[in-house]
Amino acid sequence: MTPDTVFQRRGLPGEARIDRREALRYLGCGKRSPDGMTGELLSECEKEVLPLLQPRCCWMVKKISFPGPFSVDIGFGPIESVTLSRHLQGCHSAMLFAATVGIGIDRLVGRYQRLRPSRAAVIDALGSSAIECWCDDMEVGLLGNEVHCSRFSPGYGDFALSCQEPFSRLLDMPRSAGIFLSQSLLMTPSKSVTAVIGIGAASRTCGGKCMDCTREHCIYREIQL
Amino acid sequence: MNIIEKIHSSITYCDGGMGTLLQARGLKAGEMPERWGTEHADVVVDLHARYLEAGCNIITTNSFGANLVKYSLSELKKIIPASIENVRRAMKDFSGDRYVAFDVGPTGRLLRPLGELEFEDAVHIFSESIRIAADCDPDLIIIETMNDSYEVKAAVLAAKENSSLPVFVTTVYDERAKLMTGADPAAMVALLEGLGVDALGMNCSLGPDQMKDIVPILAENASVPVIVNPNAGLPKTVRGKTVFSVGAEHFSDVMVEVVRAGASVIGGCCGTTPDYMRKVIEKTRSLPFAAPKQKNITVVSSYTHAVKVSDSPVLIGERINPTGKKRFKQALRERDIDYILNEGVAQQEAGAHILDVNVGLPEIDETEMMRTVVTELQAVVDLPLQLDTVDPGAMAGAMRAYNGKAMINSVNGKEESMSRMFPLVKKYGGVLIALTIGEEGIPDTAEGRYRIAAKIVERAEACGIARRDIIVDPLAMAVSSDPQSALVTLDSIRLIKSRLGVRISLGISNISFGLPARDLITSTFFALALQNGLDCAIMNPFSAEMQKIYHAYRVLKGMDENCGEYIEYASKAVVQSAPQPPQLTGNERRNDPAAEQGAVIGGEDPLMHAIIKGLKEKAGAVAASLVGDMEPLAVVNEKIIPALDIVGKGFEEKKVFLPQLLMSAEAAKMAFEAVKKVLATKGGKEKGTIILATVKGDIHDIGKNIVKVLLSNYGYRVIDLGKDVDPEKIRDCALEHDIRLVGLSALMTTTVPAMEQTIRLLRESGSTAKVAVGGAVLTKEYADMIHADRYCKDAMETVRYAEEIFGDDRGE
Repeated sequence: MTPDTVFQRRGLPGEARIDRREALRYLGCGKRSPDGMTGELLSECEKEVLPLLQPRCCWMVKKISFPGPFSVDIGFGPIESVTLSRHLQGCHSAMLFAATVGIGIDRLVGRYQRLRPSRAAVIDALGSSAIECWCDDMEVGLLGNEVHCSRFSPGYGDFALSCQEPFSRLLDMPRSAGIFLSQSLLMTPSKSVTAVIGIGAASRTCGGKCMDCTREHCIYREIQL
Repeated sequence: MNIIEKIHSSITYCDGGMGTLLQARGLKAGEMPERWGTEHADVVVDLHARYLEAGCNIITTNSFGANLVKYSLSELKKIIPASIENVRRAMKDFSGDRYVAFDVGPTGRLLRPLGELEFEDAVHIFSESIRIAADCDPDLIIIETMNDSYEVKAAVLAAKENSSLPVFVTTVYDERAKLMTGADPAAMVALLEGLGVDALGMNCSLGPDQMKDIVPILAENASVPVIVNPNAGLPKTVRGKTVFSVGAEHFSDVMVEVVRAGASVIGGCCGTTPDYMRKVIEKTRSLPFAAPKQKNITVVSSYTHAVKVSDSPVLIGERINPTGKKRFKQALRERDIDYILNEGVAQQEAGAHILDVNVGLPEIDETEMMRTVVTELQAVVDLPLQLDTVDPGAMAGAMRAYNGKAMINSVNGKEESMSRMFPLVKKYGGVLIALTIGEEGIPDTAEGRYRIAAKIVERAEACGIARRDIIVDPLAMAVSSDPQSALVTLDSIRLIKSRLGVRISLGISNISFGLPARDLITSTFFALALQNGLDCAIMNPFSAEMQKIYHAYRVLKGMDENCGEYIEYASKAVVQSAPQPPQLTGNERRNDPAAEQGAVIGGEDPLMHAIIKGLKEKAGAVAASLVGDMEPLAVVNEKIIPALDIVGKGFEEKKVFLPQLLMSAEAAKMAFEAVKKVLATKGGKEKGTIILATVKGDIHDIGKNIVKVLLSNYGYRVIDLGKDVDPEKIRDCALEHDIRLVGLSALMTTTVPAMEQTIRLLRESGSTAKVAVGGAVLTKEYADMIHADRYCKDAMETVRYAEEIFGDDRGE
């Protein structure tokens, strides 16, 4: 096998989806039902957003080693991180994963945010939901039969955001998924995710979404409690 | 035979993939491949030799990522010459038509507005690499794997400004035949041919089967050879081994079809090997070569699409122009860019195909304003622009900054004008509007106007500008001052079009100057001009009369298949002209947020109603009628702000959701706009000026923009410094305008230090401004830690804080 192959996949037409409840949560509507006006706006924006989604993802699988008690190597040298090494405890390999739903959302938000911010806010929330759904679907598709952890991204806990750079280099993200890093390590398209998924052990999660982090006022944690 | 002669005389072969071959020789994922040119030169030379052996003509250097983003200048000075030398070494053993192509890949960073790289910085990055390469005399430059039309423009300009080498460009299309940043193939052809490239096409991402369908679009638009370098599909694992999904046999079979569809420079990209190219060459060598034909297409483009000037009339919106518009002039003076953007969006919605952009005002820096407006407009509308200025510096700046092939308004028959404009069009591309004004002014006969048009066309062609890139404007003069003027113009259209074979445009509205009910004269003249051969009209897209003529003309001329567009237009137009009773529709009643939540609905007041319900148009219309009877400021203080307060309170009590709050804010903005129109004439006072910025390093600004809308609603002037803003810029602006409140936003923990630094700088400068901070990661504790004056958890809280600070001034 050619070492370090980066695999990629593009979403098929209609494969991208949006979870409206999730989008409403991002808009601060919590568990409450939206009023007619918001609901209508959401539907209108959804119609505009869905055809623009262009999901793509790329990934690579690497062996994991633990060079120190709070240190883990997932393919680009030791990472000092208590939360990441705890999260990957018991795993033998890691999938380095990057996904995006494309730049259409950014264009649309850019278009609306100065002139119709209500639409911009709703489209932004729909985009956030779309990328989460795409990641969830890909995780099932790629690792469905394997015991694996939930996604853990650079910037979570003490997993340094600076790991975005080796991550991007290793996966050749601009070419394999159309994801670009800014100098401050943010991604464009903005609705993109980079994550490590440990293979070989499962992790504790709250609400099926995230991990045992230290954030107290997370909406998922609140839902579970 | 040089490379230009070669591509115009036979099918020419590029090489295939490099990365996958280097990986097979030991290149690790994440390792910089360009370094192999110095560290493992023999391996690289050997790979080049294998492509030469397969029969490839064009060998690309191993310099894809050799740029300042990834390497220091001193390292580039080693890597780039080595990359060219390695191809030369490989070529020593081969004869025939072989060419060294210096390979230029993307910077790996995205340009503004989507990313953060400045256009001129991108030009600089490419220029450094190309200067080094040009000294080593390659045969051509190939700019490839480009995802963004704007970055392509930066790279081509760098190539042209730093070398005289032939330039080939290939971009990456997705399965919808668009670049990642939106451009379609016709738009790319317009842009690239405008910039003067020698061959163009596509590479990477797609396999040959998918590219095959895009080839005809490129071929029917391009006058230069078309390049096609597909991937061997995508990598997959078969029995533990990585293979590409398209094998050499199938690849080469499809490449035969690719050539038949119009490509004449072909090769491969990721996953292809010398074996693929050997098979491609075997199967396509004996196919007939079709030299590209000159296409007589007059076309302009935006960053997404091309607009062809052909049989169907092209409408050029004239509203972005301060002439005779008080409110527009005020917006320019106050740098109210949003107002200008709104004019752009509204014209697009009204059906304009191209937007004229004129921002000239004696008291502003037109060069800077033109560049700003062109850049910002392109973030919100995807129509091609017509750059309209008499200031040569402003024109050059705008043409450089424009992402596409623009329409240029204008050149005339005077020597000075032609010698100024032609070099710009030659360099940046564009379609020139040529006014029939000579050294002696405007001739009053059609023959006279024709003679000037002929002179301009002849001079342009001598400068290397194709006739198809000239549109003649024979000038519509006010019929009120010369009863023959319309007839002369109509005669001129026919004469110039038939004798010169060029397209015709007119600034149509001028015809009715000085007459009452102008729309009637203008639209009738529009119909006559169309019938006489007019192709483009610079006009008011909001004019119902003009729209009627446009739609009816297309039906009567057989341009509107099944009358589909007309029927759609007519159904809307009828709805619009029918008087609407002012009461709520059932839909609006159902969607009444305040009623649903049991809040007070501003009594029966129609303006407050409209704002609370977020009905933009209604709010604007009601406010416009109110300011006739009421003091403008009273409308703000007694209607707009109390209505906003009701919604704001609902939001604070979690009875109103964010989208609703924003919809109300937008309606209030429309109402406020109506008030401002009156204030622009009477003069008015704002409540205070506030700076807003997303701090250095952070490119998220949706939150900041929400705050901005609400603050403007409440009557504050907001200086929006944008996102990723240097602390120094915020400080300087605060001092310059003697600012009392600065709002800073940050989304990420990593950018909070930049926020802290900004606050420190403000304090050290002696500014007395209070600082409010907000954003996803901030908390009250964080805010205290970085010495902010107030943590505002949402937009309403920022408004409340502003009211606290500026409260003393109320009622002045």
